[in-house]
Amino acid sequence: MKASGIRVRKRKPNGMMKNVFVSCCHFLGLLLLGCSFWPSATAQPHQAPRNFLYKEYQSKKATPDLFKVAAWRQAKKESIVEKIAQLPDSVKQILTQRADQMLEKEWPMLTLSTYLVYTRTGNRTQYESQYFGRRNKLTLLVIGELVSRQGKYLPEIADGLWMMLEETSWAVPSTLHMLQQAGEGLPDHNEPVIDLFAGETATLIAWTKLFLEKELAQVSPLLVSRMQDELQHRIITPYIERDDFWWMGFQGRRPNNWNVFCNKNTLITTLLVEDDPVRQEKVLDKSMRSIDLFINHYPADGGCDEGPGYWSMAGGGLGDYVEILTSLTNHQLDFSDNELIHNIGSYIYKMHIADRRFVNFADATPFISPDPSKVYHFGALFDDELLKQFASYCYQISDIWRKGFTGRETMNSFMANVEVETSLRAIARKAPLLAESWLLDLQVLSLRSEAGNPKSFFLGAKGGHNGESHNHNDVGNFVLYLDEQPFLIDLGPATYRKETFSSERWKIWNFQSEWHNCPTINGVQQKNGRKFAAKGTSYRTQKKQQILSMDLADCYPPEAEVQRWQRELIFDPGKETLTLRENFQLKEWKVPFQVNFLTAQRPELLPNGDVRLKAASTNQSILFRFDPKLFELVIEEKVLDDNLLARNWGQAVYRLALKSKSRALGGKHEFVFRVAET
Amino acid sequence: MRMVNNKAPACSKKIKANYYSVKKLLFILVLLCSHSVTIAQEAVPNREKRDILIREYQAQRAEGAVFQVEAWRAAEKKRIDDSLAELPAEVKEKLLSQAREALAAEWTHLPLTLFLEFTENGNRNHYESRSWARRRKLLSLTIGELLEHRGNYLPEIANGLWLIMEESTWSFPAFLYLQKEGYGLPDPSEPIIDLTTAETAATVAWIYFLLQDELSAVSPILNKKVRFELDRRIFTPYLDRDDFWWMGFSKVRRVNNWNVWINSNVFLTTLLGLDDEERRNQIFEKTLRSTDYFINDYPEDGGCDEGPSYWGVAGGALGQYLALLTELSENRLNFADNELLHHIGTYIYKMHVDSNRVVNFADAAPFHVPDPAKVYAFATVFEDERLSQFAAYCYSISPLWKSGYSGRDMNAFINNLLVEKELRQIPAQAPLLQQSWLPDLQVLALRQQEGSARGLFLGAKGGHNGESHNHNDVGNFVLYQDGDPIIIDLGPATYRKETFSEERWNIWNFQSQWHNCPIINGVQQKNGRSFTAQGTILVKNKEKTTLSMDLAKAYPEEAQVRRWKREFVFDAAQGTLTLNEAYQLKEWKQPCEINFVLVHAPDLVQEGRIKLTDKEGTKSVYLHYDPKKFSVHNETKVLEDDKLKSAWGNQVYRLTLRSRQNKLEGSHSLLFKDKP
Repeated sequence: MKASGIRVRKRKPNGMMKNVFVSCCHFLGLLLLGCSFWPSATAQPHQAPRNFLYKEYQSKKATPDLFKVAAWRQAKKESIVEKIAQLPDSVKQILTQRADQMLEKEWPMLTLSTYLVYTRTGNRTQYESQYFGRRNKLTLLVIGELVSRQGKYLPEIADGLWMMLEETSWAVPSTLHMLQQAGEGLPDHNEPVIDLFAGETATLIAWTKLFLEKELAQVSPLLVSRMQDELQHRIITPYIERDDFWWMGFQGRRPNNWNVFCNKNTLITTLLVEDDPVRQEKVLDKSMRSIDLFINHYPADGGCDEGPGYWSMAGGGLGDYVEILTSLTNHQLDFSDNELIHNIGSYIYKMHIADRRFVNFADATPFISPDPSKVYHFGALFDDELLKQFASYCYQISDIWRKGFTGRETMNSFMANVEVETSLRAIARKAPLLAESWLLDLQVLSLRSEAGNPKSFFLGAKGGHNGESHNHNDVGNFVLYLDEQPFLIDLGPATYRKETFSSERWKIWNFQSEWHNCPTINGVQQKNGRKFAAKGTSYRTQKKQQILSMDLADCYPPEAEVQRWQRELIFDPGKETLTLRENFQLKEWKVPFQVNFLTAQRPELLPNGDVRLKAASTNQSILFRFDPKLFELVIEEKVLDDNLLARNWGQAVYRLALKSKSRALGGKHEFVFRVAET
Repeated sequence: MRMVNNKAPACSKKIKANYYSVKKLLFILVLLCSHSVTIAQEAVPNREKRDILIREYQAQRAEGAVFQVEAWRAAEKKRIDDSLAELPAEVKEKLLSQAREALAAEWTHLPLTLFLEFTENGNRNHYESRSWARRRKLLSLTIGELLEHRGNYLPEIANGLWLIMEESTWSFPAFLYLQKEGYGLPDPSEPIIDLTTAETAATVAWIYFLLQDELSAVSPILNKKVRFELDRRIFTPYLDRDDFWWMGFSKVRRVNNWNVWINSNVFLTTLLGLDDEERRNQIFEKTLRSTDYFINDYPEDGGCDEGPSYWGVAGGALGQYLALLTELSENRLNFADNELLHHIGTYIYKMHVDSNRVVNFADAAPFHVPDPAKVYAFATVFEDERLSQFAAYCYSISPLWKSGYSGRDMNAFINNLLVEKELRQIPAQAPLLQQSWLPDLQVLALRQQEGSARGLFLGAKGGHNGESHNHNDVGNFVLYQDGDPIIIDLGPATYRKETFSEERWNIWNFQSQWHNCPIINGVQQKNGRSFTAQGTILVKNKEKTTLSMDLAKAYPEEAQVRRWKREFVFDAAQGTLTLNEAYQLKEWKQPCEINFVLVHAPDLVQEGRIKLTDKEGTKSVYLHYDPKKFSVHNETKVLEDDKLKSAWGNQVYRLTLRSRQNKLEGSHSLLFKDKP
C-alpha cells in the first residue's frame, strides 16, 4: 500500500490526552440521573402485561398485617446504627473528614435567575450545581453526624434542612415542562410535582429525620414537624392524589429509569415518615402498579437500552425496590423465581469489560461504578453467587466512602451500602467476566477471548434500532478493548443541554452515526426513530467463531438508496481477531460510501499498510487491515469541546474514515482487527 | 470631694462625625424596637371612645363607595414617574450608584441557626441585620430600575423577591411570641402579622405594583407567587384574626406604635396588591377600626410616650395613613378639624432641640431626624405652615438623599420621593418653640428664646414608670447649651432578649441611678404604672417657668420617703435653671444622692462650683451647689454597648452629689447657669 492512499487531515494540534478516569466518575454520577425521558417513546410492549409485582401482591393480600412498616422502620434504624458502628475506623475517618470539609463550605444560594437559566439557555448545570451542592453538603454532614454522634454537625444540618424546606420546589428546572401544568419556567407553588430529585431530596430528609429526630427536636420541635409536613405536602400527598405524572406510566407513556427512581424514593420516604397505614398502603399499592409498567416494558433478556450507566437508577433501583417489598413483608412477597428480574440484575456484569469500564452504547458513559449495594441486593434476592461476588468487586473499584453519596442516590446509597458493608467484605471479590453475553432483545453482544481474563480481547456490539431510550444513531456499532483499554470506542454522552432532549438532538454531531463505528452510505447517515432498525439480526457460533450479523439498510432513510447492507462481525477468540465483513447492494450510486472507526488515540500507519491502533497504558496494540485497492483511508482529528467528552476521552479523538474507491452498486469488503504485541 | 476618675477623655469623638452613622442606626432601631408582652402590660386606660376614623368612614360610606382605588393607582404611578424624573441629577446619580453596588453584592443567607440565636443567646442583631440587608438590597435595586427602566436590575429584583417569598417567615425571632408555638422557629401553619411582616409585605407590594409587567416577563409565576404570599401572610390572617394584641380588639394590652405601623402597612399592601374589591374594603375598614384603638389611647396633648424616634412608626405613621385616607377617598375622609390628630403631628417639633438633637427620654434615641415625608403628611392634612417648614427643615438636614436612599422601607422612599420637589421649595425652618408642655405625658421643653437654639435648653419629665419603652426616670431632665447636650439621657442600648423581659430592670441603663434622678436611702425608682410623679404642675409667671412634682411615689416602700418634691425653675431671660428639692423621709438609712449623667468629665472649679461642658468642652454650664450640704463624686462609665457608644463615644460620666444631711427633712437648691 502506498502512502499516497492515505491523507491525514489535521484539524487542530493534538492536545495532551489526560487520563480523566477519576474525575469523570464524579461527574457522571451527576449526569446520569439527569437524563430525562424520551420525547417519543410511547410504544407499548408486545407481550401481555406481566404485572409481576401486583399479581404477587394480590395473591398475598389476604395475609393479615402483610406490610410491617413500623417493625421494618425500627429494624432498619437499629441495623443501620449497628452497621455504622461496625464500619472500619479508616472508613469512619474518611466520612468525618468529608463532613468536616463540608463545614468549611458555604451553602450555595439558589436563586430564581439560576432556576430560569435552563429555560433561557438550556444550561442545566448552573442551577443544578448549586442545588446538588446543597444536597451533597447536607448528606455528608448527616453522615458525619451519624458516624461521630457528637452533635458537631447538627447546627449546620439544621441550617441545610431549613433551607431545603424553604425552597419553592425540589424539582429541577429541566424537568418542569413535563410535570407541572404551568409548564417550563418557574415552579408553581400550588402544584408540587415529583421529579427525580424531588424524590431524592425527600429521602434525604426522611432518613435524616429517622436518625436525628430527637436531636433536631432539641434545636426546635417545629423543625421536625416542618420536615414531616413538607414531605407530606411535596411528595406523599401528590403521589397518592395524582396518576398523571408521566413517569408513573398510567397515561401510556413508556416508563424509563424515572419510574423506578421516583416510585422507589416515594416509597422509602413513606416508609420512613408516614404513620397512617391507609396512606402507607396507598403508596405501596400504587408503586407496585406503576413499577409493573416499567417491568412490563422490559425485554426478557433484562437488557437496559439506556445502557449500564443508567442501570443503577433503572434496573438496579428495581432491585432495591424488590428488596424493600421482600423485607417489608418478611418474604411474604417473594420474587426469587422471577427470571426477568434476575436477568435485569445480571445485565450489569454482562456489560462489564474491565475495572470501571463498561460497554457504553448510546448515552451510557464509558466508566461506571455500579452501586455495590444494588448489585448485592440482586445477589441476595436470587441467592446468586456471581452477583454477590460482583457486588464485592464493585465495592472494591468504586471507592464509595471517599467518592460516593454526592452525585445521585445519596443517602439511600449510603444507608444501603452501610447495611451490606460487612457482607461485602466477607465475599470474594470477583467479576464474572463471561466469555459471551448475548442480549437477544436488546441485540447487544459482548465477547471476550478468554473468560475471566479482563485483559483479553473484548468486543461489544449492537444491532437494535434508533428509537431506543437515550438513543444515538448507532445500529451496527461496536467497540474493541484489549488489556483493559479502549481501541475502538463509543464516545458516549456529551454534557446534557436543553437541545439534548429535543428534536435538535439529531443535529448534534455526537448523536450521529458518522461519529459511531458505522457506515455512511451515499453520503447519508442513519436516521432516528424506531423503524430505523437492524434487520434479521442473528448471532451464532460456528467453527469456534462467534458471528453477529444484521442488515443495516433499514437504518438509513430512502435517500441513502441502499437495498441491503449486511454487516457481519466475526470474532475469533482463539486467534484474537475480529473481522468486519460487509456485503451491500445499492439502488443507486451517488457518492462513495464510507466506513468509520473512532479511536481515542492517534492511529499509526505502518509501512506494510496496516494501521496500528493504540491505547494508553498498554504495550499491546491492535492492527487494522483494509484493502487499499478498495478504500482510501482518511484520518481525522476531532477536538472535543464538550467537558464531559473531554474528561472521558481527552482533548481529541480520531476517526478513521475508509472511503470507498468503487462506484459499483454491489460489493463486499472485509476489515480485520487483530491483536499484536507492540 | 473625691473624684473617682477625673481624667478628661483622651479622645472624645466628635458627635457630628457620628451623625450619619447614628442616623442610620437609629433608623434601624426605630422600626425594630417593638417590644414584647412582658413590659408595659398596663391595663387599657378608660379613655374616651373617640373612634374618629370609623365614624368618619361610616358617615361617608352611607353615601357610596369611599375609596377610589383604580383612579388612585393610576394617578400614583404617574406621580411616581413624574417625581422620579424631577429628582436632582446628583440624587439620581447617587441612587444609581447605590443600585449598582447592590447589584454587585451577594444575597445574604438567613439560616435557621441565626434565627434561633434569639432564643439561644438573646442576640437579635445577627439575624435582623441580615434580613435587612436583603431588603435594603432589594430596595436599592428597585429604585435603580424605576430610575432607568432598562431592565438592568430586574433579574436581581426577581431574585430578591423570590428569596423573600421563600422565607419561612417575615417576622423576626423576637416577635414570635405572637404565634401559638411561641418563640423558636416560625410555624408555617400559622402566619402571623407583626411589624416586619407588614413592612416586608408593603415593600413587596410596592414592587409588585410598580414592576408587575416587567416581572411577568421574567415569569408569570412570579407575580402569581407574590399574590399568593401576600394573601397567605397578610390578607387572610388579617381578616381571619382579631387576636393579635396590636390590633386592640382583644384589649389584652395597650396598643403602641405597632398598631399604626402595622395597620398602615397592611392598608397599603392591600391597596397595592389586592384586586378583590370586597376583601379589599373589608381590610380597609378593619384597619380603620383597629387604628382607632391607637388614637383612642392617645393623650390629648398628642405626646408620644415612646419618644420622638418612635414617632415615625407611631404618630408619624398615623399622619401618613391619614393623608392616604384623604387622598384615596378623594377628600371625603377629612380630618383637618381634629385637634388631637393635629397635636400628634406637632409633637415632633415640640421635642426638637436643635439640628438632629431631640428630647430623648426612655428608649428614644438622642439623635434623630424625623422622616420629612411624615412631617409633611401632617402639614398637608392640617394645612399647617409650621409643619411644612419643619418638614423642609428635616429634609434639609436629613441624610436621606445625600447618602443615597439607604433605608429598607419602600414606603418611606416613595413618600419622600413624592414630596421631594415641594420640600425643596419650602423655606427650611424649625419652630424651636420657647415652651412646649405636654400635660398628659408630663414632658416639658423650654428654651431661652423662641426660634433660636442659642442658650440653655431644658427637657424634663414627670410621668410614671409604666410608660411604653419605659426607663425608670420620673423627674429626669436633660440640659443643652447652644443646642449641644451637656446633661443627658443615655437613651437606648442595643436591644437584646433581656431588653423586653423582667430582666430589663436589672440592666443598668434602665435604672434611675443612671438617669438624672435622686437615689433615696440607697434605693432607686421602681418600674410599674403605680410608680409615678404626683402633683405635677407647670406654672409660668413673667420671668420664670416652674415645673414641680413629687417623686416619692416613684420609689418603692424601702426608700422610706414620704415626699420628694422636685422643682425645675427655668429663667429664660437669665439663662438659668434652678433645681430645688425638698424632702421628707420616714426613716434615714443612708445619705441621699443626686445623679447627673454627663457627656464630658466635670471640672470642680472650686468648692461649690462645677463646670459641665459639652462633648468638645467648648460650651459650658456651671453647677452651683452648697458644699456644706453635698460631697461631690464623679465616675467614668465605660460604654460597651455599640448603640450607646455610637451615640456618646466610649464613655460617659456620672456626677453624684451626696448629701451630708442625716435628718428626716431637708431641702437644697442647685443652680445651673452659663457663668461661673
